[in-house]
Amino acid sequence: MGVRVEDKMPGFVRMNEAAMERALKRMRNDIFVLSQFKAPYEGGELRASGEQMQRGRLKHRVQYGATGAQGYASYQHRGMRRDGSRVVKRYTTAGTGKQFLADSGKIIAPKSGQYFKREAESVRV
Amino acid sequence: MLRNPIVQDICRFLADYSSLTMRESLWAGELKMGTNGIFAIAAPSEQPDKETGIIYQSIEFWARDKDTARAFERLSEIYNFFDRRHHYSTDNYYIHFSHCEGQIEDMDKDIENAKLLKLSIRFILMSEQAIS
Repeated sequence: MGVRVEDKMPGFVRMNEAAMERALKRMRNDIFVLSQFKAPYEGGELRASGEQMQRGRLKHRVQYGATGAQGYASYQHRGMRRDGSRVVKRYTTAGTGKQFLADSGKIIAPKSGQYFKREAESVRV
Repeated sequence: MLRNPIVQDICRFLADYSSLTMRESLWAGELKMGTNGIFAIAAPSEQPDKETGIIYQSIEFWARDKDTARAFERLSEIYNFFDRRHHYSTDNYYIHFSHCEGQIEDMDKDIENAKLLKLSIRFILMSEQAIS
């Protein structure tokens, strides 16, 4: 009579990492969608410049203005110039505001536990 | 074999059997600014099963509406329509099972002060196109 021990740890580690990656991707996706809803809108260039990408293992990014309008995107995000001048007082679209990306992140970040839990539940070895 | 974006097929199927209408109150894969309605966005999902080719696709249904009650009502309709529904076909896919991944979530408001709610649904499906 013998006991057979099957080591499923390598499989678990692999699937667990994939699940964590998915959780981050979903957070990134939601931050992007939310920021699109919140970004100031006039001609649509700022919103169109938004993009999301994976920068490496467990590294994700949402950004605006990478396609040549970075200065404008950061100006709109701050709502003023870096030195505090030219504060945006009136937005073309009612209710439009600054901090559209940071605010989206602040809404999703506290829910990170939900995202990770949901994906962790899908891990089967 | 994938032929059509899954999210488009699912939305067409939903529009056929619910009060929602494509490109009036339901949009697939796009966000229509300043418009009240449901926006279905494909979410990052698990890899397909290596042996069977079964596809796992999560879809996020975002409701954007000035009327919070209507946004909730529309997502409730989607919740009840897809949750634990099994064995049905869209134009290009056979859905084995679909289920909600959580409840309707409050996602704050947009810049025009319209309410944003979100519902995630996971679809377990196969392409109806024969593999050659």
